[in-house]
Amino acid sequence: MEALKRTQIITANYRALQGLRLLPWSLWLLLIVITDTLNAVGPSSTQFFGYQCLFIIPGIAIPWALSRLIGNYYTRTFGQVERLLRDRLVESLFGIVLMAGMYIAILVDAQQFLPVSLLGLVIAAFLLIQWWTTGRFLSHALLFAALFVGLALLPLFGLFAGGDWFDPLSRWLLLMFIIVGCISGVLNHVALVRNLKAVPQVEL
Amino acid sequence: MTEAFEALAGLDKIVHEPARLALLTALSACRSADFLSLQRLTGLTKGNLSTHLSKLEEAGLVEIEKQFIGKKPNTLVRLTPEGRKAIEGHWQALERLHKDAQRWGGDR
Repeated sequence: MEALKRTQIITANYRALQGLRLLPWSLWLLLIVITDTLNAVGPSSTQFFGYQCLFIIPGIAIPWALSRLIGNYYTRTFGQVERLLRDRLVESLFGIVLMAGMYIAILVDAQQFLPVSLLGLVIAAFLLIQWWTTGRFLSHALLFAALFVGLALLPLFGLFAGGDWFDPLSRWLLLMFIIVGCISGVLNHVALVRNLKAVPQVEL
Repeated sequence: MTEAFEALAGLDKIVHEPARLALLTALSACRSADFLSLQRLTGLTKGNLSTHLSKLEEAGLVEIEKQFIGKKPNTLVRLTPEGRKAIEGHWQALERLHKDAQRWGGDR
């Protein structure tokens, strides 16, 4: 019965577990955040404008093309599963709520009304929900949720000079979110491969 | 006990066969799945999978659609409304039997 339940969960999350699909986008975002951080400490804003025009906009084509190639690999190797309409709607709604939640959390964190980072807690909640909805077998999502709770609580320990934690911590949280996205993508792929059976080559 | 045996005897053999139960369970979690994904999910050989799908189609539990994606043939399988009702009912019956079995264990 457990094996069948696992099959049901894998089928329902077939596309979400194809984690390598999002890897080019995550790496591209990581590159932007790193370049942006380096630019922020640079001398002039014209540098930023230049890199935005020359690097980000045409750069979209690269992760898009890589993502399509990876998508083709998944279709060839694992076949296609079309999700239930209900699951697609829930996932879209979840994405919108996450984005809105992150935006509101950044606004609240910027005012520093709370002694903890709301952004960190929102990301942790997102990972916790992901762990729960994927049948509680993606233990790395639970581990990453705990990591973000820990990061969100850092201001409580007075680790930031002058008590101003918003700028350094938020930048780190977003960077960690993207890195965790990359690692999760790879681990989701491993979970998918480990739970699928090899295609028998010989008829028994 | 007698009720439980009656419930066991009443399970639909078409649905209860392990490979078909796995196929129907997988299909209940999605709108449709192609032949390759069902093979990867169940580990069945092409021949076995075709046979089981034909039986399920004959029983009116699944719909099979053959199409071409580019130049490659692709077989798409989805549950019919009857199929969805059958697998949901079957799982409920299994859960009931599981609970009963646990209760007997507690009575001993």
